[in-house]
Parts: sequence; C-alpha cells; structure tokens
Amino acid sequence: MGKFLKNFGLGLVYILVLPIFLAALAIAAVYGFFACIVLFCHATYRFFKGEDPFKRLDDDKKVDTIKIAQMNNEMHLQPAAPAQSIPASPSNVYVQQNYYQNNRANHQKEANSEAAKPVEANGFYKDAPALGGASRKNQAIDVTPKETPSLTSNHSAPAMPNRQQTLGFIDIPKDDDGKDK
Amino acid sequence: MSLIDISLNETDRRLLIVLLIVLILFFVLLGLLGMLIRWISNEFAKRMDYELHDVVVYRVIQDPKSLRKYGMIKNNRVLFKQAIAPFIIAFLSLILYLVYSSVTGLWAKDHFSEFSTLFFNFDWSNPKFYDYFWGLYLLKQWPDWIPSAGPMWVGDFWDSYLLVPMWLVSGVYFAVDIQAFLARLAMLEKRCRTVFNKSLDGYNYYDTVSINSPGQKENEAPKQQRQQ
Repeated sequence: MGKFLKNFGLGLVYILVLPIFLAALAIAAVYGFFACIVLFCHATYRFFKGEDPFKRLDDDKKVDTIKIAQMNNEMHLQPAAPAQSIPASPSNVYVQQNYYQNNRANHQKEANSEAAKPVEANGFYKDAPALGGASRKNQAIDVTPKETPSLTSNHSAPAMPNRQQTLGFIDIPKDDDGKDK
Repeated sequence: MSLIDISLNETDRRLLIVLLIVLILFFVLLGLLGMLIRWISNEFAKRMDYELHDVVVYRVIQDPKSLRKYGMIKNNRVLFKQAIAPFIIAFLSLILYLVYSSVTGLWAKDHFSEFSTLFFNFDWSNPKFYDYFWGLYLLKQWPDWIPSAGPMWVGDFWDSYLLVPMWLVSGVYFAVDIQAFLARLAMLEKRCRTVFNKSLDGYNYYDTVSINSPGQKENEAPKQQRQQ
C-alpha cells in the first residue's frame, strides 16, 4: 500500500514536472539538431581533407602521453620475473640428482677405492685416481672455457676439448633413472 | 443555505467514482513510467562518466570550468554519433516523400490517416459517448468500433505505410537520443560540482588526529602542541 501511494505521489509530481521536462526536451532537440548539422559539416570537411572526422582534443592527447610514459616507465622498471617454484611431480623429479646428493659421501669412498672398470650402460670407464681421472668432487663436466673469448681480440674460436681432456663422466646407473623400468 | 450548492444525482455520483479510480490509476501509472524514465536516464548518464574518466583520473583537467567545456564537446560528439541512425532514416523518408510526391503530384496527402487503416478505429467524434460533468465533456462509454475504417490493407496507401513508420521511428529514436543527451548533461553538471569538491565535514583545526597531512609523520606534533 505504501509503495502504491508512493507511486501515486510520484505520478502527481511527474505530471507537474512534465511540461518543464517536455520544454527542456524540445529545446535540447532543437539544439541537438543544429549541433548535429554543424558537426556533420565539420566532420565532412575534415574527412575530405584527409583527416580524422573529429579532431583529437588536447586533453586527450595529454592523457595519451601520460599513459605512454607510464607504460614505458613500468617496462623499464619492471624487475626480472622471479623463478617459479614448480611443485614436485613425477615429471620433473630427477632421480639422478637426488641420488648423488643423498649418496655423495658413499660415492666418494667408492671412487677412491675402486679400480677402473667399465660401466655396463655406456661402456665408458669410471673416473678413477688410477687412470688420472678427476675425483668425485669434480663430478660436473667443466664446459666453461679457460679463456673468455672476446669479440675485440684476435683470437680464433676456442678449440673444442677432445676426449682425452675430459675430466670425468657422470655415472647414470640404469636402475636409478626410473625410466627404464 | 450552504455556501456551495453541490447536488449530485446517481449518474453524477457514479461518474465521479469512476473518474477518481481512473485518475488514481493514471497517476500510479505515470509514477511508474517516470521511475522507468529516471532509471533509463541514469543508465544513459553513465556514458558521461566513461568520457570524463581519463582526463579526471590522470588530472589533466583541474577545474570545473575546463571539465564542463570538455564534457560539452564530448557530449555533442556522442549525440552526433548516436543521432546518425535516426538522421539516416529521416533522410531516406524525405527522399521517398519527395520522389513519390513529385511523381504523383500529391504534396498535401494525409499520410497519417491512411496509415491508421492498419489499426482498429473507434468512433471518438460521436457525442453520445460523452457526458457533461462540471463544465467538462467526459467520456462515459468506450466508443464503438468502425469496421469500415480498419484494420485493413489498402494497396494504394503503400507510401503511407512506409513513410509514417519511418517518421515515427526516426522521431522517437532522436527523442531518446535527446533524452540521453540531457541525462549526460545532468551528469556532467553533477561531476563538475562533486569532482573538485573540497569538504570540511568532520574536520577540526585543533583535532590532533586529523590535522596531520598525508605527508606529515605521525609523531610530528602540530606547532600549537609543541608551543605548549
């Protein structure tokens, strides 16, 4: 009932305001009509001059400048993306690395005591002190050149290390990689 | 003897009751219609916020006068873009009218009465459906339908069947665009008043909490306190 009365009251108000609203609408319609004609002539003139129909306002240009400056600023100040920590899953857990980290001490002892013998998987010899190989502490292959090449120097391309200069090989036990099973 | 002599017979009393009910319903419907128009206007007015947003947020415009000027230019351009469709319809109808009238020579044809043959027509002009009440002729009964006047299709009136809808559509379309223009204008005035508004509501000069400006450290006491 309250809503009904409210609508009734609003209706009374609107019928009082209606003439004013209609007058405003008529005045705005006349203004809009002529504004459209003027804008149409102006836009047509600019269009046939090869320009945009509507000139870009100075304030809009300033906004564009500020936006571009902000974007450039963000691009230059943006820090390097932090390395994403990937949760452990069967596809990205390398058994070999875990094996060496967990059994480094045992392998050191074995390397010192064992004689050189062929590895059944790849046929290479294990590095052993008797053969002049590196110890287990230098397990990783050293691929960094001894002398850093410079584009300005007259040095030729660095010579590739031959097989005899190889310090050691990574032992990949067949049972531990988890792929051959 | 009473000051105003009001004598109502049974028919007058019935008419008065019917008139009151019709008036109440009319006002209620008008209220609902007004609410609908206000809601539509508010929706239209949001476009002005979209147009003004960047220049205000990036602080390119810094006073109400410039904002009003910028808003008016934008409002006119939006009106022009929205009014293209009704103008095209009106232009096409004008071409059709000129061609048809020049070919047939019927320049003063009543297209609206021809168009009304598509609808039901009632005998509004018959005085027997009206009653005299307090100096006014009021409708006391719904007039009879005139079957000979429609609805029917008359092939010769094809021009009116095309022209009148085009005029009506373009007119109503342009009126809606003008309503949107007025709604945006009202929103522009509102934003000019509110965007640069400086309010001292809840502010007290001696209030030690709110006296600190954003750049001032919290442990910095105001001068007045330090002097004490």
